[in-house]
Amino acid sequence: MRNKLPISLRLSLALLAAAALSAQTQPGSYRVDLPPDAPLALVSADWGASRATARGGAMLLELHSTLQLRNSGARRIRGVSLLVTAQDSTPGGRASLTLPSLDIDSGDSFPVRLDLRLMRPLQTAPGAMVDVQLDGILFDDLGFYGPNRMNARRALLAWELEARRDRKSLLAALERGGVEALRTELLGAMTRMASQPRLEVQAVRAGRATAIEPEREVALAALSLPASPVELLSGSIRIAGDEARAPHLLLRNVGSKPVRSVEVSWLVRDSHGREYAAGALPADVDLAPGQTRPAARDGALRFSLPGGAPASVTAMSGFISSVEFADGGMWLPTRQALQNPRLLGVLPLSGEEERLVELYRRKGLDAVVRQLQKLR
Amino acid sequence: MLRAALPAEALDESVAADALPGVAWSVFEAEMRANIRLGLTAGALAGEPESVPQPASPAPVPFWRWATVCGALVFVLGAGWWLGTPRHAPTPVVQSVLTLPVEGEDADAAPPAGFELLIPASGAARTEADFNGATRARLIDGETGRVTLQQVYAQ
Repeated sequence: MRNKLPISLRLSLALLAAAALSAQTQPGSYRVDLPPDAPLALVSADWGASRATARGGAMLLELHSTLQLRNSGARRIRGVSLLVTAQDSTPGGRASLTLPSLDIDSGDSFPVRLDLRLMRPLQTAPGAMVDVQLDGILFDDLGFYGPNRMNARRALLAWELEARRDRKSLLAALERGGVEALRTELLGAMTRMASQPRLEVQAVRAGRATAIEPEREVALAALSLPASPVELLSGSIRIAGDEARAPHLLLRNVGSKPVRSVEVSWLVRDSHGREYAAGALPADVDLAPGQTRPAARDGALRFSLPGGAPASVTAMSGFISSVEFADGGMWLPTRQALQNPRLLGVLPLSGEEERLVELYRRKGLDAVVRQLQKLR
Repeated sequence: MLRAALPAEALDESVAADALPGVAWSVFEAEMRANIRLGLTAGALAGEPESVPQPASPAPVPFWRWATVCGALVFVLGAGWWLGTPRHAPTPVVQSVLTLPVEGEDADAAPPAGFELLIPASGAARTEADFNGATRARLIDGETGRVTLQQVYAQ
């Protein structure tokens, strides 16, 4: 006689096995959590090729998703920032995804492509493996909505103001000399982009990995841009081989408004005398008008050439690239200020310039003209 | 089982005979036996039940059928794989790197945890890092004009 298991038991076992196999990738493992009163709604979320794999004691999450979001508010959206969390306290467990340069009308939908690799411990509380939350929305009137946990407001506002500055300049060229003048501007930007040396920068969390080269403290060369409300008085940084760490800065508010934060951009010189733009240091410093304060960080950066070879750093300079005031306003250098011969051949194109250059390269001059006139 | 279920006095023939004095038990027994024999004889006359026909051994399945089934299976599996594979499998541009020391290795000698940028071949990608431990990648899609800034945090 055959020993038959009850059908219900067999079904349960089959379901359990299926659940165990798909536990790593089932849709319930990912959650998009938008506040109910947010002027942004989730239309759909396709987690398609996302997967999780165990790596030692950690879980490696590869996220490949397309979220379809809709502007459910009344104002036009210029930028959105999402916070993606696998584990708050794990290094590499959090990421943010920011989409500036949007122009989403009320009721319109738009896709958000998410390609990230995050870490989280294997043993964690039950619940979604990955949480996607809203960090902020910037509107066309420069109003902001959101919890701003990762300073989305500063990033979105700086991008938008910089984009308006650069579009205005290109539009002026268009109105002054027609499409040929605009083409000349775009070709000039393309040439600059192609000729600039690039350096790869890696944030290193735990400081120096080797002791091959002795570490030395070098003074930072401070570049001053016209009309900057904050002055970089002096600074120092510890350099060893391809690593720079623990910058110390002395900042002074030379303007009339209280300052909430500044961003210092870096130029790195290698042993061959070549100079590269190499990242920035956003620093929250409360500076009253006339006040001088130090700002210091313990972090470290590692520099390498595009082929992967270590870049030997000999000197670094810094300049104030943006200032956020306590009242929420921002200061950015003018385009004339950035014509500084020291910066001209080194500074990368702004995000908006690069976007318009890419548009010109792919879609032609008419597409750029339409963009400039639409976002006028 | 039936006998076991009966009370003991019901099995005692003398008790039964006393209980029904008018019944000729010997005649009744003879008739029962005759009925049983009749049943057996009738069964024999009717003949043995025809043996259940053995199922004919299945005819060999032609090769083309096997080929069709296998082809269909290959098609279904292939289509499943093709549909399940993302058409656009982008390389994540920002990844965290946690280097775990090998067992027995001095933990101080192991490379520190950090972040690594996997820069796509596209020239429209730019990466940055800052002393707060964050690493950023700026991606520009020339087709749509969309910009994406991705950032991972060390702390």
